[in-house]
Amino acid sequence: MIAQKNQPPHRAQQFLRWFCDPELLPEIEGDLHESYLEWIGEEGIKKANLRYWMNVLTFFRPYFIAKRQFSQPANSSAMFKNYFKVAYRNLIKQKLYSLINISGLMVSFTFCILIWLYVQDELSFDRSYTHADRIYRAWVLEDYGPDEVFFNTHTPMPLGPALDSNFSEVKASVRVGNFSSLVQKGGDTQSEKVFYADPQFFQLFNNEVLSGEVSLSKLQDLVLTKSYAVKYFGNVDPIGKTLSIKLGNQFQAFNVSGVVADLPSNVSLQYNMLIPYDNNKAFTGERGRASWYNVSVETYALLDEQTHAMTLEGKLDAMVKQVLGENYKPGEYKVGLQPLTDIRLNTEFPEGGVAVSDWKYVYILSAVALLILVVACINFVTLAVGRSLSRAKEVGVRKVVGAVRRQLMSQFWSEAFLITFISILLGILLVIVLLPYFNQLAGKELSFLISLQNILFLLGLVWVVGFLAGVYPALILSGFSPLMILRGSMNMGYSRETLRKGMVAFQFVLAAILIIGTLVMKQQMTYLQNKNLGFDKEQIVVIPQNMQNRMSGSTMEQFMEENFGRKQLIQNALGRLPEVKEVTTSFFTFGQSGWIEVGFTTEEGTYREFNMNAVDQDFVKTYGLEMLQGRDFDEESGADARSGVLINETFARAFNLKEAVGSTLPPPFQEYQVVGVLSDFHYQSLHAAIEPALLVMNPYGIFKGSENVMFEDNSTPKISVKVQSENLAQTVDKLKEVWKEVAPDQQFEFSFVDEKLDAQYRAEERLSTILSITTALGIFISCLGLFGLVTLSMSKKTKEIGIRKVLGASVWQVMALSYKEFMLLIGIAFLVAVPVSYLMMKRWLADFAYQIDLGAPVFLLAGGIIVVIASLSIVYQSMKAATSNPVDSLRSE
Amino acid sequence: MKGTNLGELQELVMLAVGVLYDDAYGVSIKDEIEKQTGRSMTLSTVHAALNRLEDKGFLISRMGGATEERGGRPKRLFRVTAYGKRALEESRMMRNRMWESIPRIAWDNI
Repeated sequence: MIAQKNQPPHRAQQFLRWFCDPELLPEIEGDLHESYLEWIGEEGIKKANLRYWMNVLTFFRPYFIAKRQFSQPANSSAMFKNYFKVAYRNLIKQKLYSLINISGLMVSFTFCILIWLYVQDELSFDRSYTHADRIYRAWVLEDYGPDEVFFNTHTPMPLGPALDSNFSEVKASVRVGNFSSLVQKGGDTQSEKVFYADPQFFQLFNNEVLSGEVSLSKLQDLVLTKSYAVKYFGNVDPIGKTLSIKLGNQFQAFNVSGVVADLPSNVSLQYNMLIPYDNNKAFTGERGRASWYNVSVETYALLDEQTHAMTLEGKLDAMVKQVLGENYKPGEYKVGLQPLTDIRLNTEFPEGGVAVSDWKYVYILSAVALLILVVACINFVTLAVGRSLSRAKEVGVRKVVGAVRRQLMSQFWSEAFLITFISILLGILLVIVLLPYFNQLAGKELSFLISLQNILFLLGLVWVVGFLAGVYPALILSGFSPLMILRGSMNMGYSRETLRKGMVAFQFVLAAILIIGTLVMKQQMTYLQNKNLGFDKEQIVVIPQNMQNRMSGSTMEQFMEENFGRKQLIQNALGRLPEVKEVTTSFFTFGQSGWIEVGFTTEEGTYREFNMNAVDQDFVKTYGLEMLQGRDFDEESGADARSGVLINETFARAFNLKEAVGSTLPPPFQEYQVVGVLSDFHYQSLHAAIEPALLVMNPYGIFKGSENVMFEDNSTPKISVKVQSENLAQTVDKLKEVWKEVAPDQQFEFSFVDEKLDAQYRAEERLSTILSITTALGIFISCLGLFGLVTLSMSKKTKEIGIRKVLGASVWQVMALSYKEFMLLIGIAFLVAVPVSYLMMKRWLADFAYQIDLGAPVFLLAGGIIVVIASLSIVYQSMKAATSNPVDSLRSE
Repeated sequence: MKGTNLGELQELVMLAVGVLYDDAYGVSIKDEIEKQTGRSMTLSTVHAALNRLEDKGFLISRMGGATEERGGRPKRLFRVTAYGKRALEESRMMRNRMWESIPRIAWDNI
């Protein structure tokens, strides 16, 4: 008894027996045992166990390790080969089963890899800079109470220097801004986006320099990207060559000082032409440059290694107090820092000068990819469970012949891995084929490279999926008792049946969620596209007027006058065409990111904003805006041209102009008089609610009275032409001819308003397209599963069906039997999916200022789709079973 | 000479086998060496040495009885062979010869 109690550690013994040469084992075990008892006496059981282990380990050396195990490796590799051979034969034998599994897995692998590439790209944004983790972008928050909170990642111009001079922690700060301007080389003029930045720019954003220098030290320095160097200079070395860029009202010569490699698509700051910061003097007044209330540039700061951004942020309040003094109340004006690597996917911060994507898309896509993968794995397992009856016989026979469980497990897992492996190879091929299309869809430049990361991902994918897919057969099937199986008393247990059904139901929950999501998104997109925007968008061609430097040295006023004068010329010419109904010129049209934002301080001292567009008297007519009160601009009235404004309903409400027509605008714009009120129209995308807006023919007075003028888009005057024609292409050609006559020195560019409008919803459009495809895949894979399952369940029931038919059941009765069973499953799945998808879609819709109602019809439609698709596969299979001759199925008994 | 060369550990093990006459097996040999030299060693070292010495023909072994305290496993009992004895003697003689050839003066200044 005592000896029984004092047994050495079991595992240590097992280990010893595993590796030790059997000839030497008895005496070694004996000696260890004897010593072990001694150790217990000396030091107690715990220490003895430990010593036993240590001693066992010291025996693990070549002299004692059994030679046999390693001297015959041929056997194990032969077994391994055999596993795959058997797996291969099973694959071939069970064609339908293999086809379902492989195609399901292949499709989901393809999808997973594509999403992986997408997500990888999104997450890699801005991480390529050497000091990426130490660069921050400043933000400014002005809080004057409810409805008057101004949160901006555009910052005041003095902020950068203030950071530099106040904090030694800031190693460098750089201000970056951009403007749309004209660029001239030789006689050619083009409209370009030009960036300007402090000379420290390249200290922070170390883009790869191809030639020249990127110091931005001289005022006329110009840095180009490779593709822009080629665009303007072809194959000639551009260093030292000159380009003219229009600053303010004048063209200025810039010398190309450096060329950088084209920027990778995964950096936020995408510039092509970069000039030194101080050039913005040409178009920004002294007041604007010094004001802490005028935001126009982005400020990036590089912190030193020791400084944590939080620490620095804590000290910013003191700096603000110092520079703003008594001008503000505590808490009204805040400055903070946002990590550079956070910019791309953080939608909490207002968009600055760089594009922000939504982390939601990353999550949604990853989740969807995961779902699809799970569904494919579930298919695999369900089918394996379904087939377990026939495989059980194989297991029985193998066991009787002498296979041990471990071998059977290896066998089943080999099969799972073989299928997984084949699927992923096909998936990779598919990815390579589909990548260009996917790029187009996602608006990216992804490529599938052989990188360590990608290889690890693929291996991980194979491993996880192969493992999961093989778990059930390997762990459960291999455990069947051969006696039970071969005696024939093996039956499909109740629990296994439930498991299988549960998995099918789960699959359909996922499919239903996908379908509902897609339908809702489609509906919302259609709604946005068809919503009455309050203006005509059809058949309007917009032609930007890239004016020449003819009016160099002019004031803005002169510029406008000349511009509108010239416009008259063009308009008259265009008006000659019979297809042209109306022509108008305006700063902004529709489908742009927004109109001019004008900020001013009211007499009560509060800061307010409205939007503005400078137009001519034909704007309302051309775009078919609806007059609510008052009248349109009068062509003949000099007063209108000088001081008349049209406002929208929201403006009248917001500024409390009850008897709007005839009243003057609130100070400091009281020289302007309202001539008419327009019913609200959507001049911004439907993500945003309508804000106060006004149309004016003479905007200078408003510019003068305002504190803050902002616009994101190109503000060069544009001519909008409302055409009436069956053949748009032909009409555009005619427009071009006329244009060439009147403005031979200018390029003819054009766009359609409705196309631009559609572009505003491209992100949603993309998501919705990707989701539609995903949904199709999800349904496809789910149905594959269902199809396979029905097939199996029918083949099991052939005898039952045979007997029922012999006893007089009709084909319909037999079919209804199995149909009911599956429909119940689908019904349950649908009931689970509805609330889940309802909540999900509610959250997505919350992003839009104007949204559809989430009503029952969408859900019913989704339910209908699922029922129809599922029915088709069930009916097809059960029909086959039900119409078969009972003789065939019963003969064998 | 070369063939009968013994390492120090091997010599110790053989001597212990001799000392323990008829009761020389793994644990007892280990204990004996520890008792006589104060050196502790692991069982695996002893076993490895024993096996090697047997391969060389210096030791011979037979299976002894199994006892309860060994968990029912038999002992392997070792004895020194004539060949082994000669190897030990040679080793001892070589040492003696060398001792004797050390000139007295070598010890004087220590």
